[in-house]
Amino acid sequence: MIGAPSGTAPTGDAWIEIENVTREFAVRGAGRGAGARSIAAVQDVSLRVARGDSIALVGTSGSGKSTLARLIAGLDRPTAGRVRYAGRVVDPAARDWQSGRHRMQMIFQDPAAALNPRHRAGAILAEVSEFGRGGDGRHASAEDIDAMLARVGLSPADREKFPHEFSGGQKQRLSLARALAAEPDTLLADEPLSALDVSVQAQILALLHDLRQERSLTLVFVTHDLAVVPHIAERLAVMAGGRIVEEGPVDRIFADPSHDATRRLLAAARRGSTGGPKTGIL
Amino acid sequence: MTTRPPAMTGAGRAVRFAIMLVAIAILASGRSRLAPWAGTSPDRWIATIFACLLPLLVAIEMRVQPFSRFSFLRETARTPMARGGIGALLGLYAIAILAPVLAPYAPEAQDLANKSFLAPGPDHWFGTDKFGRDLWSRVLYGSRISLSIGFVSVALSVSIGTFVGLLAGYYRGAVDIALMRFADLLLAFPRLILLLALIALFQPSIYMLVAVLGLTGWMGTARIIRSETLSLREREFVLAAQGFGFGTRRILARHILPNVMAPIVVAATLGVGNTILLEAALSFLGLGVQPPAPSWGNLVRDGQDVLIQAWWVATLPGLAIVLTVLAFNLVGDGLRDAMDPRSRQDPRSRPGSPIR
Repeated sequence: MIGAPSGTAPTGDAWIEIENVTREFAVRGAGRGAGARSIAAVQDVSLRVARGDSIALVGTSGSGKSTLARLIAGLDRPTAGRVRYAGRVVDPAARDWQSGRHRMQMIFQDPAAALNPRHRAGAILAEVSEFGRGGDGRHASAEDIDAMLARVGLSPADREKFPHEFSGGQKQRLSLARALAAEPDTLLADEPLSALDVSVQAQILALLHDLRQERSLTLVFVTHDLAVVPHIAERLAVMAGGRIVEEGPVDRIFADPSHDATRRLLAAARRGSTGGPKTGIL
Repeated sequence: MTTRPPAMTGAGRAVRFAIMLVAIAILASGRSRLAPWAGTSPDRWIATIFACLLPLLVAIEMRVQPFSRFSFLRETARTPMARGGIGALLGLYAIAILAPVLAPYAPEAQDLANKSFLAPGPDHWFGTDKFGRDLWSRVLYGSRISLSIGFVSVALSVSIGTFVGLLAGYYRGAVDIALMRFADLLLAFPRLILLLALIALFQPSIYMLVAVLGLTGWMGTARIIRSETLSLREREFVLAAQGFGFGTRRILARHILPNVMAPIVVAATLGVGNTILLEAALSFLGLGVQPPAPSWGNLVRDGQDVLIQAWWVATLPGLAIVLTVLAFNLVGDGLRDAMDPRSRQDPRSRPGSPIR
């Protein structure tokens, strides 16, 4: 229903289109009006992601990658510029965007915070299942929920559990299942691995990879760790100081990084992969 | 609500069902004359609501505290003080419901000629007042009035406070400023003066009293709930709910409200004690429950002129007030400690606690 409606078709082949987006935060205590200071977490960023593409957004902490992810998801509004998703301007006030926003699902860094602690796993999935199965508005049966749990490697018995009864990796699986229940076409993963053990990271990464193939999802994968990027993304955008400093195919950037920030991230990733625990990834 | 409630385990479902049955039975029989709590209570349906409140509270508690059945209560009852408070409250509750069974005399039965100002003794445990009415019976019946006014008006004020706090915390901005400055405005008035002014405008009655106490007591709750909501609205599970395009009402009801139940319960418990005290003060001033209905404040008032000749008339009902308020405060403190993760051995045992 959202698939590129006529008239508002995305320009070119861009599925997510970020046009000169800036997001400034007022500095606390800096006063108001003309003298107010602010920090630009994201500065004049433009980026296009084609449908079905998988792009990694990499940068050190404070580089603005998470802010950019939140802007794409419409959880925050840009100070300047705009974001388009599936041809619609991302705008919390716009009804047509609101009605289609569940097609873009976000996976959060801390799975413990991403699940309502008062709801059982089954209820968490049931609540969002109305968006699934072609949007027939019907609620999921127990079998549907078991199938959703099974797809992410959880068992039917987990339906009755509360989030705190799961391990970190299981919680992240559950939030993946919740995202998938909406039958999204786009997944926005904000550091989905950083709260997890290394061995679990590999499993979640593999699951994400399979799901992407299976459902031809467009994926935006935010991470600070370049080492995982080749396993999940074809394209790479490196952020530093609120700007995208380098962007292109993963292979090319890995072979020939042009920006200092990229080189530093690559060096860090390589240090991690020589005998370190990172070898465990995939 | 569009979603199924969380499924319960077999035992939990049975317990919950039984509690609901008891509540319904109380509700139904409260209207019949055979019920022990029907009796001569002046405001029968307030007593009925009150009688239903505890089973309902337990049922709600079981629904919002899923981590393990009654872990909440067990956690609260960790200190002897809180255990004493819980015991006292359960005893009071039983007394209030069973007052017509326990009371040896009718609370309004007079015997001016023979029984005026009898000292406490085997026939009249708490003595008698000027009109020869049995003070023990009056204190028992008074518990119904005092407790039900406390419960019902706190239910009202906590509901208003929760609603205001949720809106202010979730919308922030102009809504927040308008609501919270209004709350500040009300808080700036001394509550007792505000109550006196309001009551002076209307005819005092129990319903008036409940309404006025409820409408002037919501500001504290609103502040607590607002600050909880402010932090919860930034939590990822709320963002995730927004990511599905859910409406505000649904996010507030399903995702934020269940996570602020803990501070609501604490505020309500402490609020009941406070309200009982206020009601007693108002009745003492002659602006609360009107005689001859035996509210505890009235009983103390009856005794103030004869404190030297008949100390028991004011002292023993006063003691009932003290003990009741103390019990509520002890339980409230216990609840607050139970919900503060810093006082726990296992910080992971309550991951849902919004107080971090």
